[in-house]
Amino acid sequence: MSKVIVEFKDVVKKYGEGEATQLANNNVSFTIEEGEFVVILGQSGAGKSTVLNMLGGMDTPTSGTVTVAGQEVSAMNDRQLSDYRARTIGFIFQFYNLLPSLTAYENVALTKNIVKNAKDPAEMLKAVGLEAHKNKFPSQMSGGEQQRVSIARALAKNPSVILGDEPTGALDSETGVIVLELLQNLCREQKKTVILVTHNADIARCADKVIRMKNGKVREIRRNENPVPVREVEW
Amino acid sequence: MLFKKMRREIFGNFGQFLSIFILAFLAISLFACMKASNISAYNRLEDLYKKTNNADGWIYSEGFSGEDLQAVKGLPDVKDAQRRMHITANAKENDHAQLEVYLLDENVVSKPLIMSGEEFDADRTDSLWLSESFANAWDIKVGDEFSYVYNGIIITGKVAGLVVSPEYQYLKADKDLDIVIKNISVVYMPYRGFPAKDYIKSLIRKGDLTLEDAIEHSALVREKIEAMEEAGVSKADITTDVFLDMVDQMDEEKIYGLLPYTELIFTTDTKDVKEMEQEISDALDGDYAVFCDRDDIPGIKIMMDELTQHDQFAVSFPVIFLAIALLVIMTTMNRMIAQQRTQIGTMRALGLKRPKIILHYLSYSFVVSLLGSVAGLYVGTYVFGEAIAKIFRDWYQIPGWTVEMDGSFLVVLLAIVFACTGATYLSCRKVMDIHPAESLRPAPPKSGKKTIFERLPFWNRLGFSTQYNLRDISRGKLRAVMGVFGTAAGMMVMVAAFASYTTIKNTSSWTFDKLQHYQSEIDFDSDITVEKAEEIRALYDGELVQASAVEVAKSKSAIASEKRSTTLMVTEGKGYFALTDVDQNEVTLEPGTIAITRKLAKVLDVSVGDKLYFHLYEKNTWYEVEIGLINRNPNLSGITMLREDYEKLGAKYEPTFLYTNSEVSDDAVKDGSGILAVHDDSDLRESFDVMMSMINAMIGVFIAFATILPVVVLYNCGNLSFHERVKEFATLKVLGFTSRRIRKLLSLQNLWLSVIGIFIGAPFGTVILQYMFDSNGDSMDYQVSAGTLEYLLSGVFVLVVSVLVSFLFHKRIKKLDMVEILKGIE
Repeated sequence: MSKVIVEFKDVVKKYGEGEATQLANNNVSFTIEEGEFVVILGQSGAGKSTVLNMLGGMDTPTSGTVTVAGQEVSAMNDRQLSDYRARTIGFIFQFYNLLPSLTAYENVALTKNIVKNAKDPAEMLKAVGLEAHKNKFPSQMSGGEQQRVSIARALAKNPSVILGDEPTGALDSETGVIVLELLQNLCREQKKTVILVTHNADIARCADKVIRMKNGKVREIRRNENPVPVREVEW
Repeated sequence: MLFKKMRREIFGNFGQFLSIFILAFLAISLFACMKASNISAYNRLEDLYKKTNNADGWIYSEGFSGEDLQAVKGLPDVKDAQRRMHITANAKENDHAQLEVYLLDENVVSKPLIMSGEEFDADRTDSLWLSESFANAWDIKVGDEFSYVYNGIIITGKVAGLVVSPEYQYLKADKDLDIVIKNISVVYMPYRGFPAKDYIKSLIRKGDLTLEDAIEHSALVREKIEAMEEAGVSKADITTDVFLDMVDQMDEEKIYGLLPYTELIFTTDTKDVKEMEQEISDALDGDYAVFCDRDDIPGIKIMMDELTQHDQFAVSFPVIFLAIALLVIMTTMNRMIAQQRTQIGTMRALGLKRPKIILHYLSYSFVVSLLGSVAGLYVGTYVFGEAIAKIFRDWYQIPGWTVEMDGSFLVVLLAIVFACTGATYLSCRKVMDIHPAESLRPAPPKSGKKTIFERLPFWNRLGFSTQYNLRDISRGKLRAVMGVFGTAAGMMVMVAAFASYTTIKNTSSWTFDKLQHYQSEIDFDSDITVEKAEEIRALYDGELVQASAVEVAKSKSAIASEKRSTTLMVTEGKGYFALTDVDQNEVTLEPGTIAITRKLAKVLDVSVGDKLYFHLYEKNTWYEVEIGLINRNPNLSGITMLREDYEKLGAKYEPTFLYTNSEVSDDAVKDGSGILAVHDDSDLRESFDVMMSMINAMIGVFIAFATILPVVVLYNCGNLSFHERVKEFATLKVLGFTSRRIRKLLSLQNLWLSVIGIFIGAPFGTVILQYMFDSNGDSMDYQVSAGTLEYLLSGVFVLVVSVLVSFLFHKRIKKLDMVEILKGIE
């Protein structure tokens, strides 16, 4: 059995106060093992993005603990959180969030300013099949290409955990497949832990583990004994 | 509804709109404070001149006859005319204050304005009228006795009224560097109240009134001499004693025929009074010394120079603030409209007409700039303007001077509001041109393209922060220009502040170390003889100097507009009164030549080797001299020559001062000693100290402005930059950048813009200061200087402000909600 890399324990997240209080996460508990390809599935408002934000050190729980790679993220201060985001997490956004004034190469090379042992940006771009586009600015690339740059950027930091918030949400299905395949390969070949948040149930078929959420609660944690290769999924 | 939207969004972007408010406020309040006091001054002056029938033309000579007066009065362009006698005397008490005494036998032109007491009456020969400011300073009341000394004669009169003279808005004693109210007064006195017989006798004793002069000017003397000649006495037989006896026996009433009317003044409706010189000259058969208009009367001109200076400031300073305000508005509205692109699309999709949407966005800057301008107009006029008027009321004599507005205020207010609103129109026009359906979608990301900086050979070796900021600058050029311009303006003001301090310090050492090699100045009685002055010099050692008012011109036959009134200094060349060249190096005057001050030489367009012509103010004889030196003196404008050369011209040497390094006690000042007053250089040093304290106060105001400008502008730059890049910062934060690093990233750009602004603004600091000093009139010639330390201090100050401004963003960066910012598509 692999080692547990992520542990959510009795996590509650509330927004607002008094009557306006909204319970985004209600006693959420789960674990994820190292090298797993996990999909957190749920409809809009299910609380899945809140889970991802807390995992990414961008938000803190109201109660409960979040532990990632042996570090209690829920107890960290601002500085420790920055350090955690820099070293442990690679984030992939729905809308890529590349810096528009930097080229593809520079967006990836940015990681050198964040961690000391960042990987070679050229190699990372090659890994995502964009070596020919390295001097293009984001506005000169398609959505899929931009998302691949975003993945290359996440990988360059050599993080233990890669988080993706609807990474294919803004892409057409063909491009989405390429991106997902890339992420699945990271898991299989580089033993990275990949956690994706999506409302697309088809994508869940590719995952090793599916955590289904509804109304802020975990409804089901299911292990896929035979994850489907991404190419076989249609949506 | 749109109004509510506007109101909420203005409050939502409070920082930026507050900047626009402040800049509009500052621009118009600077205009208003200078202008409001000026308008009042001009209006009150007009009132004063009207009430007193102030003269438009002044003619000076050794004496005007009744026929001369009638001839001038008869000219078609002349409305009123009057003769009078003018002397400069000293108060018997009151620190021997300088008195400009006017002896009048009628009160038609340039009448004193009565502030309290009785109207001037030429028949009240026992009375005199004093300047109100002087009387107040010495607590002299109507009804008190007041005495003054002239040519050794003591004249006493009852103070019948306290007045303001229309010819002396600027009233400064010759010995003072700046206005000291208690040291000078104008005195009006009935012509017949003056002890003519004593005065004439003193002139005869001094040799200033010869028998020939008397024969020429007095029919009575002519008749007497003719009678004596018939009796066999020749003119040569009439000695000074005989002449004095003759005067003694003359009827008191008739002796006034010998008392010269030295001035003839008139009013006219002619616009260019100087154009009347030919007809005046014809009427007087050319027998006069100087013809002047109001521009030549120091008491009026210096005040007018000051008002003109304020008029210039009222335009030049606000323009700087307005330019920055426009930059802030354009950048702010550009950002706001770009941000609201989809909202604009929605409004258009809902059917709102294009002009209505444009008007809505124009209303932001319209409302804010209008509020700022109205507040600036009010505070500028009634707070700042009144404060300025209060300061100047103490210096210049303009009754009722306060603050007033005129139509130009509305024009400037509208100009500022329209400029601000127009700048907004330019910003929102672009978005309006986009098709509604397209504007409903978010704007495509700014297309990344190679910037000019990337052509730098070392571009690839630059760090991330540098590259990132250089690219950002090239994306937000207007914002960068605003940052540079704002800090440049701040730097300019700061350098000007420090430079004004060093300039006055430099002027002080220039004066005391290079120009004045003496510790004491003895002022002689105006009737002192050369022999007596030389006796005093023998006692104390030192150098005699004559200071006289002269008129100079480039050619002998110059017309009035080519002549300049100035001061002649005649020295003995001993170096107590020294000269410096234009670079402040001490120089000596070559015998046979004269020195002329830099500014005067420029006005007359003369240089070394040129001929120059001058005559004493009260004499009609012109002398020709050659220029041997262009000199520079911060406090004195005019020409300087050696005594030997002056006497060679045939002019009579009449020393005014003795400059000495000996200690001269105040006891030396007594009747008959020939010494009117003694000053040690502490008086002058004190004047510099007073100036220094004024400069220090000014530096405070300058520093305030120098702080406001970079703070407002850099805060705005940072704010805009922050808002434009907030999503990028959030991304960087998610990627693991610390808040501190992001703040550094943000402040790095401000720091660059500040450094560029500092270098651009630095040289203008001294330029603007020199302009300010130069606009003080021709009599002053301060050399503005600033050393490395001043530039360094100013630069450090602006940089510190820039760094402090960046800390204003620290909290915002720390609180940056990554989730909120990254989840939205906008």
